[in-house]
Amino acid sequence: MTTEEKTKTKTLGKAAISLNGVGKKFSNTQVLEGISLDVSEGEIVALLGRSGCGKSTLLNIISGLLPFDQGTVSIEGVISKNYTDWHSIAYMFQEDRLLPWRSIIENVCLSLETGSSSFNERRQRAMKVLKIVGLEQVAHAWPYQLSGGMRSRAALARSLVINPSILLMDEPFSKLDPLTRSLMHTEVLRLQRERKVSVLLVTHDVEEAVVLADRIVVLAPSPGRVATIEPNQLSHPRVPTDPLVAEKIRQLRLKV
Amino acid sequence: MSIINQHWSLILQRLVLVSVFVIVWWLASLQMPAFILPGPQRVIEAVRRLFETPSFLNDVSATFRRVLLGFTLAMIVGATLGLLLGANKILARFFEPVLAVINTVSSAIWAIFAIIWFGISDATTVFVVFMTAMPLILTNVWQGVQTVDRQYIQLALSLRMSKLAILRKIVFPSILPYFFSSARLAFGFGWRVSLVAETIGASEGIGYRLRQAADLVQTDQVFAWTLLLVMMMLFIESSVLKPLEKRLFRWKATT
Ligand SMILES: Nc1ncnc2c1ncn2[C@@H]1O[C@H](COP(=O)(O)OP(=O)(O)OP(=O)(O)O)[C@@H](O)[C@H]1O
Ligand SMILES: [Mg+2]
Repeated sequence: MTTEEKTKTKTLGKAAISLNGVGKKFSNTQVLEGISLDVSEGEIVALLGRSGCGKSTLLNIISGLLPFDQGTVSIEGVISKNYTDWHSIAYMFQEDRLLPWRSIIENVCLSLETGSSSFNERRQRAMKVLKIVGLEQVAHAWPYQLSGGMRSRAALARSLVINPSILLMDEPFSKLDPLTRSLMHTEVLRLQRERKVSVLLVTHDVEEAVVLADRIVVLAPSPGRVATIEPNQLSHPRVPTDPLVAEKIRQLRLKV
Repeated sequence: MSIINQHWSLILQRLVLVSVFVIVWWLASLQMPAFILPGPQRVIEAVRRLFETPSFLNDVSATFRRVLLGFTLAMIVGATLGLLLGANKILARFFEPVLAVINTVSSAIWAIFAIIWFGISDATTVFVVFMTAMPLILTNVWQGVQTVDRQYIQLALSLRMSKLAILRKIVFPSILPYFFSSARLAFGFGWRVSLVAETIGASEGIGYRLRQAADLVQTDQVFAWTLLLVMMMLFIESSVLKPLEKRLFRWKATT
């Protein structure tokens, strides 16, 4: 690689996640086919698509939890099976998966227990993120005592507490009321701005995709494949009532 | 307010139940000779005499020792084997018939085998308690392992937890309710069969005294021991098991 090329790739931003022709079969049905897609460092990419088109499957593949049949997945430029720094990737599942026998703060601490931090350090860090997602009041409650929206914010806290550099999120805000949701949007945008976190976010909400994402990927079903990749360069903050934003949302709705 | 009322009404109901029982017992005892059905006063008197017997504490502690030893061994072996069978399908399929066989053999048969193998000794009772309690715990833990939510395992894997950490942080807490309820059941069964074993394979202990009393047609003694046993079980249930359950499973929604 020449120096010129190096600077070029650098200015473009190294790919945090890079998928190349990824395909997946479940028994005999092809669920994903030829998925090629990059998420650059510090970029937010939204993944839209019908129910069952393979969005969660794709996140499972990227997170290294699910073996796949065709193509390659690279993370921070390393083929995923040689990748080692998994602790800097947070995966927020479609379900909250809070362990019922742990209090909310203990659930958040779970993410830190694979590291070397002390009990008190973990508690402090967990409490800090719980404040960010507005759950400090219920830090010591049991999961069953929380509403659906609170539970999903607890799951968000469990993902954020590790200070991830890559964040995979599967319909993270679908259970939140509009006000809390926009607070969480602000938080994700702040993480992107201040800490250059790369985000791949699955959503069914076109408006959410337009408000958050720098690029929007629309998947087509059976088998799941990339239908369109829509760049989105509107300036922040994006308010859905803004005519430019509203127009973008309208356009995109036609493509989903 | 209504909770307090409910509480008192429950206590009242229990008092009524006990009084009715004692009255019926007393009336019935008037119609029969004491060696068939001794009356309440006679039994109370027998309990008092039991407490005064020098060997009383020795008998009670002998039985407890055997039950606890058999039960503890059953918990350790049952939980370990249950985990192993739960983790390994091939192993499970291979050993499933063994479990079915063990489960169909009655405790009385184990007691007879125990006499043949161990004679009159602690080991006889311990063995019978173990053979009764262990399969119960094993089966439940095995079942518990199969119900561990795969989504939690996936979560743990996404956090790159070690196998040991997954076992400790996901699997154990998931199967704890199964383990606890089976242990409770097994303790109850183990306790009851220990008496059967002691009637034939011991020279001290509650079961042995029961048989002695029966042989001498001291029916009031038999009743006294029975009364004491019931009291002890109620005490263990309310002072150990119930509070423990409350504490271990406080994360469960109370509907
Ligand atoms: N473990 C599995 N075994 C077999 N088929 C599976 C498995 N997991 C998912 N599938 C199938 O793969 C397809 C994609 O599932 P996936 O959960 O990825 O969809 P999704 O896009 O996330 O849908 P939703 O928007 O409803 O969450 C579905 O048809 C599903 O039935
Ligand atoms: Mg999904």
